[in-house]
Amino acid sequence: MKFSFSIERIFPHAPEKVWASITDARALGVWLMETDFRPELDAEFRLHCVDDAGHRDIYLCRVLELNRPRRMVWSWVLDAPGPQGEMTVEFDLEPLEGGTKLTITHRGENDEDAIENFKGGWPTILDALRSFLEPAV
Amino acid sequence: MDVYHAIADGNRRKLLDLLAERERSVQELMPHFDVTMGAVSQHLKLLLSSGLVTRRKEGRFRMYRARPEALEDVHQWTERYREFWESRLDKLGVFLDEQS
Repeated sequence: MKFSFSIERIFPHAPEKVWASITDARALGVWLMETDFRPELDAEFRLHCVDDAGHRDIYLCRVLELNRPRRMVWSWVLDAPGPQGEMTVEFDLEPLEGGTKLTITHRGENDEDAIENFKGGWPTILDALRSFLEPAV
Repeated sequence: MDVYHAIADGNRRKLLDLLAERERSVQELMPHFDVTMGAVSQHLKLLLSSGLVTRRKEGRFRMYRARPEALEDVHQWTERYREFWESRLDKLGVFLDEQS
């Protein structure tokens, strides 16, 4: 099943500065995840994720689009056995007065094997989804 | 088919409510709507392709029912990723502020 959602943030920094922070491997290592990212179209790279429990995951990624300083798109898939849903992450930068709006759009497919049994009421879920959707444009 | 597109429409949400209560045919659904049968069929087709409802044949009739597992799963899944990005963007903000 496909899904997508977007998150926006406004940073009081110039677009070039925000662009540099999302396209430099050392910067990404500080705010996102440890990585061997290279700002090159079609470059393959990894993201190393360690969660609070110490569990390690690796994501295999590729640079699909690179339009400095406005847009970058990655493909991203978990490096694990079995079918994994492939995802894309889009970074869109919009210059604003005094800053930059960064919009991250995450699109993907859900891993069918991860489906848990439905618990709880249908109306509760729809209500939760409505309020989840409301803040998004 | 994007689940969010599927549930964005009020008629489709109403269809999901009715099909979550119990299995129904198109004929049983029609009295609840002001739109044409063609419109209801289109909505059901969309809900089918998004994985939110399933269908089975009973004689001449096609019986539809909701798959609430699908919606709950999407909700949990996207919540996890949303939280992930929110915390990462917090860190990006701090990182940017620290750069000269």
